[in-house]
Amino acid sequence: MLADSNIAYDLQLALNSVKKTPVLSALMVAAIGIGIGACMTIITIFYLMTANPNPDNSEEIYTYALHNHLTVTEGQEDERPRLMSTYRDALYILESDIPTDQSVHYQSWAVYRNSEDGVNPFWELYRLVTPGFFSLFDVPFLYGGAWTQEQEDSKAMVIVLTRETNDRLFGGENSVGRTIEAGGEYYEVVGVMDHFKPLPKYFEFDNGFFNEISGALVPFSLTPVIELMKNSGGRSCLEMPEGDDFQSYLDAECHWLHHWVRLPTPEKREAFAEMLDNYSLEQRRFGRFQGPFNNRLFNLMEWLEHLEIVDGTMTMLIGVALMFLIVCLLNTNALLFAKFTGRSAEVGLKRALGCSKKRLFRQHLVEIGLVGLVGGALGLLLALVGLAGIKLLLTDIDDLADMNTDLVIIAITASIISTLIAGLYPAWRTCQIAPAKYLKSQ
Amino acid sequence: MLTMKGVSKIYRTDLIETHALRDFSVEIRAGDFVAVTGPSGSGKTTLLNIAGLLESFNGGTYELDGVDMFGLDDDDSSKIRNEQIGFIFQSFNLMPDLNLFENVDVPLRYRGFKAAERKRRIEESLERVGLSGRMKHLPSQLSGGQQQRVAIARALAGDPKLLLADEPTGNLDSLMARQVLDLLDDINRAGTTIVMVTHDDELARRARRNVHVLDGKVDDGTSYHSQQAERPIEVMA
Repeated sequence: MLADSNIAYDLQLALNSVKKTPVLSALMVAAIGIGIGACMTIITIFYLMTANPNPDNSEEIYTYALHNHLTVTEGQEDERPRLMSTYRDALYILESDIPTDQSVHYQSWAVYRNSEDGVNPFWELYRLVTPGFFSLFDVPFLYGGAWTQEQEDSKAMVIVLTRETNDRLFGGENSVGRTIEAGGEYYEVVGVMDHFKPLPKYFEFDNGFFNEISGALVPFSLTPVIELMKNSGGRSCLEMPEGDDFQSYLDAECHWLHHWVRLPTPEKREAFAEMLDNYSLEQRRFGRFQGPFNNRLFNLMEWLEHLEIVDGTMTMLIGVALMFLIVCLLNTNALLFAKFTGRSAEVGLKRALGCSKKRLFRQHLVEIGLVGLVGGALGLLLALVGLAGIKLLLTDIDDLADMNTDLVIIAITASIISTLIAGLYPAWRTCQIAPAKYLKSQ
Repeated sequence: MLTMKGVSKIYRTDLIETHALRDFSVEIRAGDFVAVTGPSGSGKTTLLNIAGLLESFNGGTYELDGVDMFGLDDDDSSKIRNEQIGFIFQSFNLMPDLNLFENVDVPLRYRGFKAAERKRRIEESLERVGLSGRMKHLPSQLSGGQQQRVAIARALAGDPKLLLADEPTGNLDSLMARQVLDLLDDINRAGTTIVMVTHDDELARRARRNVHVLDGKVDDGTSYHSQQAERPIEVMA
């Protein structure tokens, strides 16, 4: 028995039509599927690369670039300011009470070990941060929490573990209050982070935008205590350290620290910019900074744009994928013409039996939509295959190459809409045929 | 029931104009069974197509049940075709992938009937043509005569006032043709007006009235009343 509603009836007719011309239908679904699959593979990467990784804070958090060149090279007066800070400059700015939160941080390596059993030591990343790191970057906690400013100031030997490190050291148990050994030092665990992997990893730019953060975090104030140098990422020195000791390294004109601040109001932002300029002027007076006066402040999205994470190649790839989709849709358009032309007699009969052009057009659109839907599903499958291939090729973007619900909805909707666009003209043409012409010829 | 006055139909191409109907006038009353005869190319099928609103006409007037049919939009003409007119074609024109029930269901769908009403009408009309036991069969499982009876059931299911038949027995052998004609007779006796295009003189004699068309006009000289005629046909050409 046929379904009662008009749309259900149209859908049933569409299914009958698909069954009647399986090869043509399969070709159309394949054309749409391949086009959508190629597009969605590229768009998924693009979408996740350009997504706001910290939407709750992105309007308030800033990083700065201080124009701290010591000399001016002829012809390079407009050289851009450094994106990383020296230890000396970072400490000065940390003293400012204009930002409501600050995070100075850098990354190193250390050998970790559960100090209670001491077995299975392993190398892992290790990050020194000020406590503002946790609030600025919206770090979630599974157990415990961040260390306090007092603990920071007193150089307390405390540590926050990532969930993964906690799993390795403590089998996933609540380890707050327990002790671990990292880099030869003993730390008390004060917190265990929940899964935290902002994409892109915007708070530093010299360790890859899409890889893991670090295995554990300890107070930045411990830098001169544990004497752990930045062992991964960028570090540039305008002058070599005067001595071989760690303090000489800290005092040197080396840029290696990432520094973020929270400036919740325009007034704070203005005041902080003014403070940076004043600091630069003061350093200039001391004869330290030279060259043009070109300090910069970036909020999160400005920062991502400045870093050009999405480069021209990606834009070009999207263009190529869209062109490919258009070619696939043109093929679908031709196949729909062929299919609908072959049913002129049936259309003529339906018109004779009282089907209006509008209703007939709707029937055709339902059929085209059905092809688009199945094509979209195939496209999703192909996109998943494409993303799996990209994962194999580019391990850096492993976590990026995952589709979320939004993207699935986008893929299916795009497939249906683009197929409908491709099928509008063939469907309209079919509905315009003169029925009498075909009734004699059946 | 059906009145045409001075109807003309011209087919135009870049090079030539063909006058399929010229100043054609006819009146068919409710309950008539009219056979339209004439040689090939005389305009019979054009007449039927215009009467069934499958084609427009260039001049004259055409009224169906007192309503002017000139210049109707597609929605209105489709509605009239669906509700007031039934079609029977020479080659049956059934949908091969739908079973008998579903074939008869097609015009009822466009009418917007609820499922129970459609089911009742489908069963009744298939019963009327003697095929109620084969509702789930596909057209390819039936003989030509049976297929034409399904087409008649489809035409009758919506209770049309006017049944238009274009060579309804043209593809049938004489036995099956007779059965179909008997059925058309029954339908006409039950009150449905029938206009049937045919080449077959014997068939034409079974109708109550005849209209002979020649060169797009009613041919007065050869129009005649059939032996069964009860009322004279009103020819105004």
